[in-house]
Order: sequence, then C-alpha cells, then structure tokens
Amino acid sequence: MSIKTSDLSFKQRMRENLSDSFKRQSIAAAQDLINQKRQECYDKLGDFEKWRDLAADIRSHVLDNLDYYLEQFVSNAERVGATVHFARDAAEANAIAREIFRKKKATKAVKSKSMVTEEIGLNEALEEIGVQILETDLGEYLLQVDNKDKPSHIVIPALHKDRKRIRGVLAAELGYDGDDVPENMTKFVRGILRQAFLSADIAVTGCNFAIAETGTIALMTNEGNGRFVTSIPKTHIVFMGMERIVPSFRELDIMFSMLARSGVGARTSVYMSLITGPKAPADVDGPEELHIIIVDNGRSAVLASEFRDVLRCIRCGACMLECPAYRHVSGHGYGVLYPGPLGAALVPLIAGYKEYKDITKICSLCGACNDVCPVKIPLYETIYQHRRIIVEREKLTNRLEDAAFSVYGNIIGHSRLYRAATRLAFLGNWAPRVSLLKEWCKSREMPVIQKERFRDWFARRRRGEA
Amino acid sequence: MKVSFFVTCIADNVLTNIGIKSIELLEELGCDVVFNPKQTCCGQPLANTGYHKKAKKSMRVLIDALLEDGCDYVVAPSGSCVLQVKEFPHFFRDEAGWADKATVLVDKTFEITDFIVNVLKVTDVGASLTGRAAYHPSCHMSRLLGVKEPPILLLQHVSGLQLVPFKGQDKCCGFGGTFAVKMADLSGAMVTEKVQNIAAAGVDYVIGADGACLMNIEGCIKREGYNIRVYHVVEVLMMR
Amino acid sequence: MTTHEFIGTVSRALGRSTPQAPAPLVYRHSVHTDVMRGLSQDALAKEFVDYSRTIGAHVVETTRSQLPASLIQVVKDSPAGSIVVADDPLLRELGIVRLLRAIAPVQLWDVDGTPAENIKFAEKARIGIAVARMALAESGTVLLFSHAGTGRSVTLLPEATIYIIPQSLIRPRLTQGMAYVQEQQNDLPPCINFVSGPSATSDIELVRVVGVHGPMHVVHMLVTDL
Repeated sequence: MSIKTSDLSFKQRMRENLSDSFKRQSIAAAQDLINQKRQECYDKLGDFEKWRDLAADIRSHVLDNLDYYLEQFVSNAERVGATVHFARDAAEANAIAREIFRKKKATKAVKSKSMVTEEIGLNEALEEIGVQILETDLGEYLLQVDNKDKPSHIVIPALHKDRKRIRGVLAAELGYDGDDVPENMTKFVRGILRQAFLSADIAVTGCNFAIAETGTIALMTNEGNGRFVTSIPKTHIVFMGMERIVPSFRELDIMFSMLARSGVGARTSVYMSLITGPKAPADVDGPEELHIIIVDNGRSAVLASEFRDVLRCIRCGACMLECPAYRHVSGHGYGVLYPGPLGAALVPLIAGYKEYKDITKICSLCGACNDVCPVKIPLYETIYQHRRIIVEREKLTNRLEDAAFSVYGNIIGHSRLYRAATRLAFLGNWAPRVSLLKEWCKSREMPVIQKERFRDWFARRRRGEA
Repeated sequence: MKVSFFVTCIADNVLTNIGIKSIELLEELGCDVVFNPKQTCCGQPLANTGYHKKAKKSMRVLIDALLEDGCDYVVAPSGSCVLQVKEFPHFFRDEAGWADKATVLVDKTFEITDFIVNVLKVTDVGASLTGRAAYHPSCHMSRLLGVKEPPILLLQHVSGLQLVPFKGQDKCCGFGGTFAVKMADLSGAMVTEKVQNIAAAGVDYVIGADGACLMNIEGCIKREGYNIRVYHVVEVLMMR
Repeated sequence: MTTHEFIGTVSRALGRSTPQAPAPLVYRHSVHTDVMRGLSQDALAKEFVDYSRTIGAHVVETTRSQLPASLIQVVKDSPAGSIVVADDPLLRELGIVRLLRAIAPVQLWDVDGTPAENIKFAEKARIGIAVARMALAESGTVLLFSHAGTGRSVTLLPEATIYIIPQSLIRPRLTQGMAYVQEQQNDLPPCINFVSGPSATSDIELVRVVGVHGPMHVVHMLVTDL
C-alpha cells in the first residue's frame, strides 16, 4: 500500500461509501461502542484534561528537541547491539529492507501491524523481489487474503467487513469449511499464522514508541503477534517513523496509558514488549539481529512548518472514532492510509495539497476531534488552515467557485450592497432548485427567506410601528 | 446598559424571529439595544472555505458597525458567529490598527445566553412552554466558544419544559456552512441521523442556540415529516 | 544516509545546525502517581484480582506452603499435555519440575539447549509456567523479564500460561512498572513484556475473541505470603 489507497475519484468515493449501509452501520456501532468504553476508562483514570496536558507536553517537548533525542536513541540502540539505518523517503526505506532480505537470503517474512510500512508500500517492494510477507494482525491478515482489500480504520482495519464476508473470503482463499462464528474463524487463522511465525526468516514490525535513554523499541499488540515476531524469527526489522521517540520509560508510562485508552477504550493492550537490542548471547530464543530503519518520508518538512503539532500523533485513531463525517464515509471515503481528522491534517502535509486537497473537505469543522485527541493536536485549526492554503497559496480552486465567492465577499463587504441585495433576497424563494439549492434540497426543505428582514422590523419598531 | 445587537445574516434574512425575540428579550431584561444597520455578515462561510482575504472585507465592515455606537456590549444570537468574531484578531494580526479594533470588539462580544447568564446574571426570565424538548448544543458554541451551560440553565428555568437527552446529542448536525452544499450527501447523512435520534427521543420541540444548525435540522425534520417544532432559545425564553 | 546527515536534516528543520541539550521536561500534574495512591498491599491485591478476572485471567490465591498443591490442581484443571517451565530460582527452590512430572511430561527451559529444540518443545506444550517480576493492580498486568532461563517462548507458545505472582510485588499501575524498568536501565534484558490476560482480538465485528496468537488461558497464581 502507500498513502493513496483508492483510484476512485473523490465524488465516487463519497457516493460509494455513503451508499454502503452495512459499512455505515458497522462504523457507527464501532464508534458508539469504543467511544463509550474510552469514556469509562478515562473516567476511572482521573482527570482526562490533566492526563492529556502531560501527554501533549511530552510530545511537544520531544518534537522541539527531536534531533537531540534521535541522536541519543541511535547511540543507545547501537550500544545495545541494534543496527540503525536511515531513510529519507519510502524508496530508501524499501531499498534498505530489500538489502537486508537479500543478505539473509530470506524469502518469508511475518509482519506485525505497522502504519509506517503501509505508508512506504513495503509489502509491494518486498513482493517484487520474491519475498512472501504475511500480515499477522488478524484484521490486516483478513484484508490481505481478501485480494489486498484496504483498511477502513488505523486500529481496527477490517471494521467494514462482517462475519459473512469474512467467512466467504476464508472459504474461497484458504479452504475454510467452518461456520461464521468469530471464535472459530479466529482459531482457523491462528493455525495458519502459527506455522508462518515458526517458519519465517524475518520479522517486520513498526514501533509504537522508541525510548531515547535506552535505545528500546516499545510494541503494543492485543493479539500477541508483536510478541511472536520478536521471539521466533532470527532477524527483526523495525520500521520507525522518526517522531516516535519518548525520552525515557517515565514518559512511556503516560503515552502508553493514553494510547490503549484512546485507541480501543481499554486500560492496556494485552501485550507491551520492550525490545532492547537483539537477544543476549546466553538467551535461547529471540532474534540474533535487530535492524531499526528510521524513516523521514516528509516528516522533517512538517517539523519545520507551522504544523509541527500534527507530528504529536500517536496513531490511536480516537479522532476518527469521534468524527461525525468519518462515521458516514468510513476510512475508505478518504481514500488514504490515514483517514479521519488526522488524515485531513497530516496527509496534505506529507503527500501534497495538490493531490489530497479534497480530504480537507470531509469535515464540518465541528471540533469534536480536538476534544478527544490524547495529545491535543489542534486538528480543527490545522484543517481550517489547510483550506486557506489550498485557496490562497496553492490556488487549487476552480474559477467558477472563486468568482462566486468574490461576488459574495463583495456583497457582505459593502453595507449598501448588502442592504440592496438582501432586500431582494426573498425572491430567491421562487428560485429553481438547481445548483447549490439542489444540493441543499437533497435531504432538507428550503427555509423561507423573509420579505420583511429583521432590520426592516427593527426600523419599524423604532418608528413605533411594531 | 447599552448593547449593540449583532443580528447575524441568517437571523436578519431568514429566521428573523430570532432577531425579533432577541430584541424583545434584551429590552425586557433592561438593556438599551442599538442595531447598527451597516452590519453585514461575519464572513464565516468564506473563511471556513479558505477565502480569508475575501472574508476580511466583511469583517472590517462588521467591526466598524458594531463599535460605532460605543456600546458596552455586543450581543448576538449565535455561538458560531460570535466564535468568528472572537477569531477576528487572528485575521488582522498583520494589520495593527484593525487588530486593535478587533480586540476591542472581542472583549465586548457575547453570545446571547452567555450574556444573559454571566453578564446580566439572570437565569429565570419567566418563560413557560409545556412539553418535551431536545436541546441541540451547537458545536461552535459549546466546543469551540465554550458556552455550554448558559442555554441549558435558562431552559431549565422555563416552566413546563422538560429537557430530554438523546443519542448523539453533542454530535454535529452536519451544517458546517458551505459544507452543507459542497458535501451535500455527507451533510445530509449527518443531519438525517441527528433528526432520527431526536425523533426517537419522543420530543415535541428541538431547541438550539444557533440559527444555522436550526435551519438545517428544521429542513430535515420537514423532509422526514416529523411533527416536531424547532425553536431558538430566545424564542422559547419569550414565551409566556 | 549517515546518522550525521539524518540528524542534520532534523536539526535544520528545527532551525539550528546541531542538536542542543533540551531544557528539562516539566510535569505539570501528578495524575499518574495519584492513581491508587496510599492503597494497602491487600487493597492493591484485591484490585489486581478483580481486574485480572475482568480481562479473562483465572485467579488462584494461595500461600507459599500451599503453592505446590495449588499448582498441581491448576495443572489438572488446564488442558492436558506437556508443560514447559521457566528456569527460575523460585520454581527450582519449590522443586516444581519434579513435582509436576508426577502428572505430566515436563521440560525445564533448557539454557544449554538449541533454540530449535526449546521452541519445538514449547510449541507442543499445553502449559507454560513462569514467575512475574512485578504485577500491576490497575490493569491486571504481569511484568516479565525474558532471559536465558525464561525464554520468550515459555509464556507465548503453549495455549495456557501460569504466572506465579508474589503478592508483595503488586504495584498500583504502569507508572510503578515503568519506574522499575527505568531503575534497571543500565542492565536491561533484551526483551521485557507487560502481559495483561489472554491474547485477544476484536477484529471481527468487534466481538472479543480470546487466543489469537498467544495463550488462550492465563492463570494468575497469587502467593499471598511471598
């Protein structure tokens, strides 16, 4: 995969996803359920606002000193025996990975869910050189076997599939002949993936957090795939977005406490593995080699921009689960790897306004995302600024719209013109329902424009007539 | 106390009763209300779509109009438009003169229920309306402007009125300015869900404090054929 | 790309030529250390037990002298089959391997064995037994340090895991767990795990299913006088 996940046009994506009632119902149910669990978790934890003050402070502090902490992390990771690589972009990151696979003559890889590897299109890059790479997160695996279907959420990727569809895929692709009970289908996949874990040459993971002070990689999973891939294969490759750093375990406490709660509404993920270098010589199991590939891929430009705060993101997905627009169009509506408010804020920055300007429109500027973000990213403000940049700096608008807004701006920009125009506005009540009025009327009746405006009434009242 | 009334373009032209009831209410509460007819619109539809330069023309007009009469306060029946006014200094951060004027305006400007509760210190205006009501807390007003309690406090004192919670109460109604027409299908999906949730609560009224959201919700209620009346808070507060 | 080049790009993005030591990170609040502050060890144990059950772990409370008998009972209640036991001083002291051999095939994680042999046995085993370094009350979490004697596979491959947890090692939450790890930062084992109950997923229709890759059954054996 890469940042772009759909070839459909913006309009097609909107239409297709809004008309998929199953998908809409599943997303809505997931939002309601997880948001409620999240609320309960935080209520139990204490003052959410104080917790997120801490989390936001930590992330900001790290970003403001990212060069220092990266240097510290790299030197400690190397001290404990990891090999650290650097990649400016997707191509470099993939090339480094391919080189490791070639050197190891590795053909089989297992991967634990990782957004940055999706961002750079790692699977495709490895498949091109004949490596079979299996997703081991159940949701990701179900998408992978379903003809590489795309995720609809960053934490719960197969949210848009129901059990019947999943059963059908397992039967068609893997010869599953059981029923569609989630327990039974999961058990079936467990058997397949266990063999894959045991026979894989190389494990690939992302990195939830990296601890500067010790060179440690922290991985969180519920299913245990994060533990599996760091226990059995002989080589472990970690892909790490360069902003994933925390200074020490003290900060990891805060970040992990927020990630589990904001991500899935749980007090903790089932597993958190802290990996500090490859296995010790005396250890029996564990990888002999640990490679850490630190990826920039547009992040340093964001760091230098007015939008540095967006890099605070810990990929919990809470903004999507809260977003009323995401609720109806799902992750697929955005057509990008990072959907929802985070996607609308981040993707134009790392992949360009030109191609991704439209996703900033999937937002009613309601601000709900701001209230739930555990690291207080100003998502609303960022999307708002993007819209200005798209119009005024990048000039990526159509002329008709520009002209219409110019007329409108002139009317409201001149008192007399405004008074004259609004005096006749009531004639609009008889306007044909085309263009914008037609759009409004798709789901609503038109309001009535009053012949006697408020200002007319007020004048009448002051004359003592009303 | 001299108050300059900022009617907002929607209440000036479409939901005019909001403006009318606001004046009656403010006067009843002892305010000397001025309406400066040079005022136009806060420019939010343009700014939210990205056209900041074009929006600034109307902001200048509005700043001058609202400050012209030297009132103690500026009051508007819309949290969203007040939010926009509160943002004016950002728009003019590179224009010292206008930034100063905008800041003066910001300090004087209040959303009407916030004004009544926190400036006039009144929570019971002696209104009465019998029935069950759903209150829709508009996003800009409650989340971004931070005015959550005042409208509820005022409605709780309306005799005979029962406020009923409903599913997805604090979710956006899908209006979002030009969003409602530029993303009409998505906006429609959002308002339809909102209205269905309101109807499921078995209410007689929907009450809100932002004309734009009410226009959106009412349009959908009519389309869906529900028998639910839509009121702005000030309309309810003037019922006796 | 060298470290120097990469870090240089980041420094430039931050408007400087080289990294500079940051001002200290100040914590504005103490919400994290306030959780369960002042709770007695018994109260912490109760929280731990309650939440362990919530997340699907089976809890058995026992004493040091009753531990062998309790363990045998737990093994009998677990899936029948072979057992892999971590090579841990406490388990050695209690003679656990000898004791369990009476009821099932048992193998001690073999420090001198090959990875392949050890993994093969662990993969076939139905039960793994290990000792917790610490446990966290808030989340029903067990802290595990992997090392030569406690292979990563012991608590991963068998379908059931039995954790022996001295009650005196229960702490309020992750804050204390992380402080413990931080204390040992100069001598960290390559693999530390915080484990909270059985492996789980909610990837199909958000239905919680236990036992995706890791153990389906987890037993927390709380030793109240250890």
